Amino acid sequence: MKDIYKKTQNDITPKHLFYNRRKILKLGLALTAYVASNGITSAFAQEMFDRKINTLEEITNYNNFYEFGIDKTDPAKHAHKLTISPWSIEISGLVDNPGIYDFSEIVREMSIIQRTYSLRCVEGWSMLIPWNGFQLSELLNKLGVRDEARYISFETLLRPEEMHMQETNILNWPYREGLRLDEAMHPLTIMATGVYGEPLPKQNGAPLRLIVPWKYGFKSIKSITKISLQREEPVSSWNQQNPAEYGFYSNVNPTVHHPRWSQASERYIGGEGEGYLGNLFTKRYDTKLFNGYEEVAPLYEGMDLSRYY
Amino acid sequence: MHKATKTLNIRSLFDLVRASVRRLRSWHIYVSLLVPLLFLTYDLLSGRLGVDPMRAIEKSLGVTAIYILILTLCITPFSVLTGINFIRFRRAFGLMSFFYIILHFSTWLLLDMQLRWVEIAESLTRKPFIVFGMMGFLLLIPLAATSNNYSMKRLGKYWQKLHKLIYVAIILGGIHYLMMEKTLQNDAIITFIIIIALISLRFFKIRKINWL
Repeated sequence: MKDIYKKTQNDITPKHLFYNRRKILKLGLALTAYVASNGITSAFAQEMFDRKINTLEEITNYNNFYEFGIDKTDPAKHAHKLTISPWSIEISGLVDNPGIYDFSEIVREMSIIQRTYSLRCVEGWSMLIPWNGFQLSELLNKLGVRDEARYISFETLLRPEEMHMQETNILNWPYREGLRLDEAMHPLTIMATGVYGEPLPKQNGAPLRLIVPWKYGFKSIKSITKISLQREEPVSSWNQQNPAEYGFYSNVNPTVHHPRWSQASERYIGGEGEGYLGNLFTKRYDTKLFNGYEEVAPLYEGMDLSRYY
Repeated sequence: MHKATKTLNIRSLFDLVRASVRRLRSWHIYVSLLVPLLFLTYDLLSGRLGVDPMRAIEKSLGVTAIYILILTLCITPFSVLTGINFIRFRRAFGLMSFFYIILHFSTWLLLDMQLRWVEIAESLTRKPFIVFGMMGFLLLIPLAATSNNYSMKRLGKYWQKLHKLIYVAIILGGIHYLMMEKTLQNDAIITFIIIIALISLRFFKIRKINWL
């Protein structure tokens, strides 16, 4: 089975993959160029993405967005209730330009890029998703981060009328996440505003969500309404709910034991073949440290990753 | 007057049920308990299992197993309350539940873990969610193995004692279900409440309802 994924250039690429391949190649080239110019070794080699990009149908019907239900099909059923226009984002804390900004006002100022990232869920599955959005660093540079700031925190919208699970106490709402400032400033960290070149579907966290590809999916908080720069390590919802299972860092790491799911490998959602039966066999692949994005390793130099999980 | 007619109707209704239950054979039970599997196969082939059919199948088989086990626990109180003898079908229910557990476990081993033995060993020893499920399964093996007439005769009074393990097994299964997701889910909580309620029934003396 694995041989399929080790195709040489001479092998025939199915048509539907061909389009994806070209995109991947292009992206690979662009990023290699970028990384090369920055003098860091690249985890963006093309072979890293030598797998099917998930279809929009897969990306929009298999979501963890607990505000709309626990089952992965719930967000697709209930997220339509969410009002995303108007949408404002409150930026506060240690920044030169705090304030309440309109979403469109922010997006207009940013240079929109495309990134195809692997999204690795802590539940042991992953998808390859073509996001569009902007680098968080660009936004932070425009806002002017003060020297004392060490961390950034995010909050999802709190609106139980539209997000029915916020009426339960399965999590301490609103959903909160955070990063260390250097993680936030890393060029891989983006704020996604869309997939496949279209605005972000509601079940994927419209209109604005975080994507940190080297961390487990739950770090990539959806439907953000508040951003704050601060000195102290922020609260994150899953860490608060179950600290033994979910740490603040939550970097993808096959060697850090997780009490519920094996992190040594992951199933590629979407399957190996075509159609419904093709979806049935989702082959497991070895999970890589930092989800394969090795260039983030210097961020954690000298840290015991099994302690700061 | 009104009350009397009502009682009479229920009584005749139950006579009817009793008569049809008398005509039931074990194979009817075995075959009807294959219906969930039939539906699951249909759902798979018609693409109703969504983006990740493997997970849907794995979950569905597990939930079916636990609900057939719950039905198995219902049989004795139901028979005593209504006077309709269902007890001879207990074996069929128990074995069919075991059948679904084997399918559930095989799905996990083959399609989910894909025979990655190192991770399987790690899961079976260090992941409580898996450990509970596995212990429940292991406890049911001797019960399935001794469900035949020969073993019942051989074991005599010990057979009853041995088969009380079903209570432990179903609680373990219920916990396994509760721990499935990052948070508790309503379906699993309701299932667990049903299990606890059915087991608590054993502490009360149940009598046949007079008007039946």
